[in-house]
Amino acid sequence: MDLLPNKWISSLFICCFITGLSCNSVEKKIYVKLNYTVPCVRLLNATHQIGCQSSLSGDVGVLHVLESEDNLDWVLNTGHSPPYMVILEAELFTRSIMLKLKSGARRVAGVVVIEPNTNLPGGFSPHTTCPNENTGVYTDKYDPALAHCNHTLWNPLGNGLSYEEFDFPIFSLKDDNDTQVIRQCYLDHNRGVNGSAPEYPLCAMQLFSHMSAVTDTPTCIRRNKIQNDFSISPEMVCDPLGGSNIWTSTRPINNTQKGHKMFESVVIAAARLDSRSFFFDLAPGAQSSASGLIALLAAAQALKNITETEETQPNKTIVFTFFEGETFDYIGSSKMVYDMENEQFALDLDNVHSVLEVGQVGIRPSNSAIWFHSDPVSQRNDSVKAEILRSMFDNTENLNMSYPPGLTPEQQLSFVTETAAVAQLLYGFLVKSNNSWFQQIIPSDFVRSLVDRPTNFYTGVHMQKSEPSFLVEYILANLTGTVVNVTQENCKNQRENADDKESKHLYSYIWVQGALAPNSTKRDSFCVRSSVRLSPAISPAFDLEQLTTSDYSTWTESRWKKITGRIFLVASHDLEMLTLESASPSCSRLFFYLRDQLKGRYSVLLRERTH
Amino acid sequence: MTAAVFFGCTFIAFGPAIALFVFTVSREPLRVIFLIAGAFFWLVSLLLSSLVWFISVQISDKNNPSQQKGLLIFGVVLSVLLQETFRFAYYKLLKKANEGLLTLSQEETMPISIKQLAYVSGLGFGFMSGAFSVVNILADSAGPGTVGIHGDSQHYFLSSAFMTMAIILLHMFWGVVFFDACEKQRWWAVAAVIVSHLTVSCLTFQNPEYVASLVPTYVIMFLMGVWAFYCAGGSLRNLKLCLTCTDKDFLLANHRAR
Repeated sequence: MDLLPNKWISSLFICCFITGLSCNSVEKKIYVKLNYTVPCVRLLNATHQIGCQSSLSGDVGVLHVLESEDNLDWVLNTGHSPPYMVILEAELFTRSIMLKLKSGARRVAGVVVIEPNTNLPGGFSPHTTCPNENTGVYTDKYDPALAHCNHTLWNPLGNGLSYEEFDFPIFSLKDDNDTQVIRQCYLDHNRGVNGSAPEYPLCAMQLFSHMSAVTDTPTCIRRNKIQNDFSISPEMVCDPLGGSNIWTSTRPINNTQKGHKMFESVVIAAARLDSRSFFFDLAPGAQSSASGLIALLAAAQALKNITETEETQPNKTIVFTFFEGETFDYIGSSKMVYDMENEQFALDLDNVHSVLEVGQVGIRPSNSAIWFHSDPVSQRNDSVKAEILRSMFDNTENLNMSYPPGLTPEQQLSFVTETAAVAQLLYGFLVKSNNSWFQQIIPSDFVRSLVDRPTNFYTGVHMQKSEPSFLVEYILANLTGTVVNVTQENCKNQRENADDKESKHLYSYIWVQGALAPNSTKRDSFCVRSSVRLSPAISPAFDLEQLTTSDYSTWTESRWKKITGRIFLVASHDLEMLTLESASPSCSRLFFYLRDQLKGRYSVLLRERTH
Repeated sequence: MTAAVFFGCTFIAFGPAIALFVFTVSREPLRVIFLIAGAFFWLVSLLLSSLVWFISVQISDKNNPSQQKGLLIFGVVLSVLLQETFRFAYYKLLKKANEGLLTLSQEETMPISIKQLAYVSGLGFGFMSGAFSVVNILADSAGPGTVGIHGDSQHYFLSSAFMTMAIILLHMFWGVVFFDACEKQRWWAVAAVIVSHLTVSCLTFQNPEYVASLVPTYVIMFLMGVWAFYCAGGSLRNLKLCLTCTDKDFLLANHRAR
């Protein structure tokens, strides 16, 4: 008798729980959640904060699709129902409009930028005109005539928007069905008839992108420390940017022995791994970084055959290095130099003979020249016109990469116009990293890191491996390494056989998935031996704890809890107050009156008729 | 500022009920106890009817809208019948409890009359019914948005609150009439209560035409109120005497006070 009610009650609870899990239907009547939202997040350095943030409970604004720069007047001055959430098409996302919106802070709740389907004709760069101005080679102490881009403006189209601070949220949406819903909502509700003011209810949007960190890096690192020391469950507020540099050499170098290597004179062939744009995690980086690193990867593969035989080996070792975090004041390269100076790296600065960096080398039909720069100054050529430097438009269209229509992904991967390796690398980095070749060359644990979209070149926080560093590590190992006949257990333990203790100083071993056997799901996995190593790429400023320094990068990224957006209708203020007013008199006043009148007289009212 | 909508709708829906509770029930512990027990009985009836409805929805074809609508109507009718069944069950329980209380207590008279029990049980049913009707909606009314982006009426919150107020008061009137009818064995009155409850619940299917559902509901509420007043022992004569302050007790009391 006891068990039966218990089972019955528990099954009731389960049923109620399951119903509770499904979405609340009243909420569905009110809100439409936005599916694809890319925010602009807050980054901090030694002295400033840049980027955007919303208030803790989200920012609500009435939608307004901006038609032109003059239409800003409605948002900033004449509109009747501020604050407004301004929707911008990509052509209107310019510095002058954004700065005007920034100045009208009370009336602007946020900005939404619609990603167009094709690139803008004139080019666009939200980076500064002189990138990494203060941490470059040329400073006031070293050739000041060239410092601060006095001689050559590297990024003439740069409007510096990425480095401004906004106190409202700025999101980016794709031009798809969701955005069409937003535009339709605006047209239905927010347009007044015949030029008059639009009537309530109005269509509004709420954006959440509250950032935990404020002011600058020293402040947020100090708050991190306070959380760590005094809180039971510490909540960090920011994280330094960075990741890992990837490097390899044509002749194996002993990595366990740090510091100066006798008789080694190396040529460092470098490329950068990262890029950025105004919006978080949206950095296609085709010309900015992919072109350079793909060219260097192809060169490494080509040189592999030459460096294997004794006769054709060059007399200097070539060290191929891919630096992470270069966009943010040279995080990777400054850390490697710092390690070299402090004998934390396999080589020393005295071992370095020369440095060659491969930068933006994507040839475009309109501009088929490639420029070569050197220092010190003897001959000076004009720089490559960096038209699309570090923006969300730096994608396949920028490199004039296109495929004939109707190809499957496999066919696109092997669509050879130039060298096969370059074609496959271009496809893998700029169209889809989840392709058959990339699947073959990575270990099986990391298959889920391959994605069906272009690679995101944003460097991200140092604890997380960025997508390009993860891909370059395994591509480089496969292109420059050799396949060795080693068992999986030995391979994963970095040795050739059970007694081998020396190989791990010179080589690194990776157990890769291999190709799919035909008509089956099993893969022929094998071991690749190469000289590919990782070295940390986190700014020396954090090791030295000199967070106000201007010598090293001090960039950190704020943490956040919720990034989301939704649209709904808002009622007029008057209707809300009417609701409140209709409540009070109808209830309490009446009963107060009746109570006073009827105190103790209920019996009279309800007395049976007596005769 | 949709805190305004939230508080407004809360006070509209629960204002009369809370006022009644504070001024008539809260002073007497026995009444409070029986009110809460009544609320619990309503809750159990809802649980049972929702269990049946949930199982039937899971069995049915989810993509057939007419079948879903039919199931909803079935669910509403079943819920009303179950509520009235539990009201009757509560009445039986209270009769038994009253006998028990009488044998236990020292006094000759019952500590609480069946009429008072009818009133507090109806009010308890009303409270719980109102809570389940409207708390969900109140929670969403506190957010920045209002109903309407998919084309629904803007007056959703307001009309839900008014409907809830009507239902709470109706439950109270039904309780009084029902218990009185059971006492006097007038089964036609019980049937009338059930029929009016069914009518009011089915009127909500008229939503979103809120006028078509709210106005008849308030008319029914007024009529039930009058009927409950008569069942409880009131009459026009008493009303007149009370409101014009010319009844004997009042005159005597005031005479003494002077």
